[in-house]
Amino acid sequence: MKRPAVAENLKEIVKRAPSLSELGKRMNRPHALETIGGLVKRAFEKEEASKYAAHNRLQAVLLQDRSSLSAEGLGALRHDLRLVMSEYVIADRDSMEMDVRQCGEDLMLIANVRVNVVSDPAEELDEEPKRLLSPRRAAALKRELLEVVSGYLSIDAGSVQVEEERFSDSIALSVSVKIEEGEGFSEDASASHGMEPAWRPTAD
Amino acid sequence: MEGEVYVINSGKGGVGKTTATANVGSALSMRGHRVLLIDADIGLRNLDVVMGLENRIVYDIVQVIEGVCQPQQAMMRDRLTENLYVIPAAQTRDKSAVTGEQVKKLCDELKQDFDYIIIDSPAGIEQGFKNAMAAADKAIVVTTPDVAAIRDADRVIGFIEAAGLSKPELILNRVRPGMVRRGDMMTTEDILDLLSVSLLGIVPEDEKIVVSTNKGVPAVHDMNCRSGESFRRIAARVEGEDVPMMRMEVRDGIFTWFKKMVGFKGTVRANA
Ligand SMILES: Nc1ncnc2c1ncn2[C@@H]1O[C@H](COP(=O)(O)OP(=O)(O)OP(=O)(O)O)[C@@H](O)[C@H]1O
Ligand SMILES: [Mg+2]
Repeated sequence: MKRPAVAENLKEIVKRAPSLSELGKRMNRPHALETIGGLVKRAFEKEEASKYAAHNRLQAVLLQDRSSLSAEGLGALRHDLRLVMSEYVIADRDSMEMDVRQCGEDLMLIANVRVNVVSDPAEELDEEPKRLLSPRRAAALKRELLEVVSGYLSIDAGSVQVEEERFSDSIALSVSVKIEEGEGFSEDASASHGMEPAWRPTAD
Repeated sequence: MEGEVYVINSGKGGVGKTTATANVGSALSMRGHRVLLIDADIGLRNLDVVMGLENRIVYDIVQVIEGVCQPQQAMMRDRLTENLYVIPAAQTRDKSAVTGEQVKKLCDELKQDFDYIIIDSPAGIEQGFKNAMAAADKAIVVTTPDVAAIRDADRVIGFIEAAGLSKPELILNRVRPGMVRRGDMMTTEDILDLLSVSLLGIVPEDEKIVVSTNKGVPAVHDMNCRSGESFRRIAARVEGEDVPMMRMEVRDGIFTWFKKMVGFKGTVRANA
């Protein structure tokens, strides 16, 4: 096939290009603004990238250091926790946060998800605040959590807690469990789960 | 009344433990307290030079613990403030020369005579760090705002809590406000959130620290020094006073700006 000469090609392009007035009609203003805003924002974010990079990398590293879990182990645990919790509440896939924190002398694994709720003015008068999980469901979730987490870490079976906190537009469901002193990845877990492709850590 | 024993830790080396020990100690004694500083960095003696007392050493902490001398004989009186004493580390021995129990026994004894004992811990999480921690009632962790130092600080905080001490407080050292403003340095809030500890103070990066170390005069003695002011406030907080954090930003007022301009022109003319 014969390639058109450059000059011809250019003419084609110019001919096909919409006129400015046409462009104006096609584009709706908010969209244009959004694009510009996005560009500006991105430029700024690039500027600020190193601070965020430091924060995010540290968050991951500290989590690993505190739990003595491997990066794979952590990713897999996060994945499993998300799966279990999503059986009980409908939450945004990426909304789960997982952290290991020293609370006094205890090392705790904490995970939480936020579930958006439409606040009902009538309901605010109710004495009982709306709950995500009935006591029975919460107990079932506890049992499942115990099973999942103890596949990765030595934990104190009696310490699993499921709590809900109400915000104006959402409810946070958080689960916590105490990690036993001086324990990391339990042997069998690293052998059985660590290698399975499905358990590979996700990008978060 | 019995004094309190503080240990200053960091995990990572070179973040400012000795600088903090010298300055907070000096500031506390300037506030009228009886203060004893103990250099527990055995084999890497530093506190004596930072305090400008290197020529006064007769005995060291290992000799005290081994019973070669009385603790009082090893205490060097500060040149600048009253009621401030320093027990130097041994330079020719290593960390295994003392045990945690021995350091604790010594501090328990000396607590009676002082309001504050501050132990300058060696970096790391080895024996020397454990010895220093064994004697302490409270811990202060020093970090700089960088990834490696914060990670190590987190490890040390874990050890401190596991040892049964109360949650340590943090001194954030060498903060550069310009970089924080540009987003190239984590903010204090970011760091406190990561480490989940409370803040004892923020100290800016300051050339005057180097100058003060050169002279062996802690920066808190210079009333026009920003880092010195930070350490004076930290001392007040150690005492339990509720003082606001230092503002890190120094924005030039129009007057300073004007002076700078005039100053600048002056030099140009002088050079011409
Ligand atoms: N705020 C500051 N501004 C500028 N320089 C500082 C500041 N704080 C500390 N420094 C410098 O950093 C260096 C290390 O400080 P210092 O000796 O106090 O650290 P350290 O934690 O005791 O180290 P080590 O782990 O070796 O005992 C010194 O040269 C000191 O002058
Ligand atoms: Mg030192």
